[in-house]
Amino acid sequence: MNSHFRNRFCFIILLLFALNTTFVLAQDENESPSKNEEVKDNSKLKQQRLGFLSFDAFMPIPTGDNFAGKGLQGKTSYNFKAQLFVYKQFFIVGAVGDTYLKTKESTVTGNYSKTTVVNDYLALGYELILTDKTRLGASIGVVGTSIYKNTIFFENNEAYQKDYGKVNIFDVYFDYQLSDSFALYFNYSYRNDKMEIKAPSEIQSFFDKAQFHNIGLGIKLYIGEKDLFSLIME
Amino acid sequence: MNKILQTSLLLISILILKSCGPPEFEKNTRILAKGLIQNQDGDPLSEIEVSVYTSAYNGGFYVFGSNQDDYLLGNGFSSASGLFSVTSLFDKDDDFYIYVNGGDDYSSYIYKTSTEDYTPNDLTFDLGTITLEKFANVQFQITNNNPSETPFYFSFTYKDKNCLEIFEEGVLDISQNFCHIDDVLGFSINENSPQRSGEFTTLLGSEVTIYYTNNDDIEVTETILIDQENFTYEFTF
Repeated sequence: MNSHFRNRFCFIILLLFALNTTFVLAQDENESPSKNEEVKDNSKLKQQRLGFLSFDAFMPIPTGDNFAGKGLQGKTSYNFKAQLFVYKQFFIVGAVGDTYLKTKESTVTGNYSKTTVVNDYLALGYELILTDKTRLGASIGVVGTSIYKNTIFFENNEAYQKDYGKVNIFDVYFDYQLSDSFALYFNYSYRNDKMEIKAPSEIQSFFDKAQFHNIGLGIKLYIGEKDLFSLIME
Repeated sequence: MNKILQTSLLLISILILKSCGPPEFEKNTRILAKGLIQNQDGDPLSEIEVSVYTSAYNGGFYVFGSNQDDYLLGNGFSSASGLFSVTSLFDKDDDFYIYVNGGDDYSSYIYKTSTEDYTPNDLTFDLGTITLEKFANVQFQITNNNPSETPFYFSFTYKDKNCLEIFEEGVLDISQNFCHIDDVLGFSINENSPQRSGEFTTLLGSEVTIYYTNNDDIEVTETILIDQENFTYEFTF
């Protein structure tokens, strides 16, 4: 099992754990009439949360003087994320997703038609609660992998080739809460994948990185009412 | 016994499934194919397409695109100064080609090598200076005014319009010379078909050897210089 699959496996376990926590907490809430009344009586939404699960569709915009910026074009892509507030508004977030790209200039990339990037990363961040319904968060990636699967179509034949990279990402999001449990969000991220591609010395720097501006919209499902630290200390 | 059979079937199935999958080329790798393209007068040739292929060989080199194992790994064009630098994927294969396509006016050139155990220095295939020869079209008409029952043999021996060079670990293998090899176009002329006309393409400035047997059954060999792009050759016995 390579590191990528191991990471994805770990992340799925994390998601299942988060989902499990959601159901447990939901049951707790149902068993507590006072809390239900609080929600009904008070229009203010809960502020401190344990975390959320989210899905967003985003448009990657390749940029910079590198093979992605000069040779690739973004298509609608997606991310699943699970965010956990460790202490107050400090959080850790994990993301898995696919980035879809098509080749617009194969003379600079090598001959392939399209790329599917499977990317996973973990990031640390902080969230500001702006108003009752709005939140602004920012995170920076600490570890992540990306696998670029390049597909070659030629004379009705198909082949593929893979490039590996490490994800560096800075992400900001803006949430608008529709209810206690759901929010719509906008996010922007700047991603700079450090690539492992070996190329001739005169073009090596062109293949060292792949940079993207990502602009996305998504939905979130909030979980819990306390941060992880408070939950453990209880 | 059943277990052995089951295991064998499973292994065969896995092997079949594995061999049916699309091929994967060298991960995390890009190469460059570089060089300079000029004509026979030493003038640079621009806008000449250079393509990198793998598993393209199927017994001849006019047939790129027709082999089901062909894959184009990268391509580009020469600049105004005749220089080219093509970024390409890489594949470890016995049939790895760089194809310089001279189009309708110039000869084509193919650099063939095995990359099974060979990766070039700095991942760069430096083809150096490649000379593409201008084509000449030769139209001929052969007439025998004294046809007899005995057929006369007539042939042209001329330079093939393409050049294939085979390299072993970056060094030209001179024992395998397929660069502008001699092509032969031969036919018989007899009383039923006293005249023959046709055409072939060869290199401008090259020589064509003509061989025939005359009415006295004497073998004759002549050489003509193809000094025009549209060369006409008429011969009457």
